[in-house]
Amino acid sequence: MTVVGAMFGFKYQYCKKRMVAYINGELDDRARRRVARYVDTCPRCYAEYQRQREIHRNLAADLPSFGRPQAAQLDRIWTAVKADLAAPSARRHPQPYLRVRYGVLMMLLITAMIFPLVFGSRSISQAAATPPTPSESRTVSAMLVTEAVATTDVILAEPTEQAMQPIDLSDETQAFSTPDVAPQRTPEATR
Amino acid sequence: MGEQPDNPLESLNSTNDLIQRCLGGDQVAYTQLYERYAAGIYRLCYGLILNTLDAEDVVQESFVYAFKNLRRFDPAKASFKTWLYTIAVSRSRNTYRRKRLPQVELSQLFQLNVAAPRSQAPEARLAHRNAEDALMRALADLSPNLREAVVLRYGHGLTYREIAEVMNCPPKTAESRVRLAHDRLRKLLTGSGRAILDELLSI
Repeated sequence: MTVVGAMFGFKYQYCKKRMVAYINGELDDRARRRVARYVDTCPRCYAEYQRQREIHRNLAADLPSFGRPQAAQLDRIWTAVKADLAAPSARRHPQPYLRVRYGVLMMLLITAMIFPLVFGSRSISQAAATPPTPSESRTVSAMLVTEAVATTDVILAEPTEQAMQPIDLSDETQAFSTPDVAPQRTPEATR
Repeated sequence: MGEQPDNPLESLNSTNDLIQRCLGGDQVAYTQLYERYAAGIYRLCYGLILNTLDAEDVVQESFVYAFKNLRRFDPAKASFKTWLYTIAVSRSRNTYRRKRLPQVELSQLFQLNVAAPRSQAPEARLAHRNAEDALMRALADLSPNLREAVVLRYGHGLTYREIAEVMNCPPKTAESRVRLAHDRLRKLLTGSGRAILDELLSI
């Protein structure tokens, strides 16, 4: 392809892309002047201009009258529009209904969130409040009695150094814990 | 019922005046506003939907919506015409999304709706009808976006900026849609339309 051919090709592509806007008067001044110059100097650009101008003329002539309504049609539509405007809007009612519905939904959600908390904590407290075995209860009551007596003695007596010492609860806690007995292995099990 | 006046400034002022009167509860103003824009909106809807009954429904819906939401119209953002066209295009889109299959109207089937003036000779009327049919087929062959662009540009004389506002797209997109529609229509109308148009010119 020669340099002149390439130049014409470039001009043609430039014009082709902008020709419709050029004919419609939608190009800015600079682009409009450039297209006009190419149309004047390049035969392909001129041919493109003629083709586009012809279809532009046909469309501009035909489309404005395409589907032009009759007066009776417009009167009929206007009657329907007036009837629609006069009728009470059907969309006014759903708003309070929607509000109630969303309120109920929120209540259900809150209940669903609270439910596991309430019933979950009750089950934990129930599990913690299992009654102790008779032997344990005896030990616990004896300890409570001795502790109460000791506390009364401490209150009545002068505060001594020993009384000020922190009470070692290791023995008492042992009373609550189960004896740490390793399971005995039977000869059958070892085998 | 005529379309909007030729002078844009006068039209704008009187339209704003009519809107104010409508907001004040003037029923006559509603009628005048409808009379001013109804024909244009109908042509727009018919050009997009290509069906008389559906176009009538869309025009009705568009005006009902516009009149009910007249307080929402902001003259600072767009002209009333552009706002109304946006509503009509949006409703037309809903309609042709619902009805993708092409439909033939009974009136067309029995050739009852000849739009040519009565003063024309029978040959001219026939040629006019053929040209309109060719245009209708060509428009039906376009994609909805291209059809909207070309109808708004050539049928209603909107600028690329106004087309972009109505179609809710950038102005460059509106420009390219008009160009693509132009090219496509040129190809579609060259075969059938050329002979018809020549026939029209000879008459």
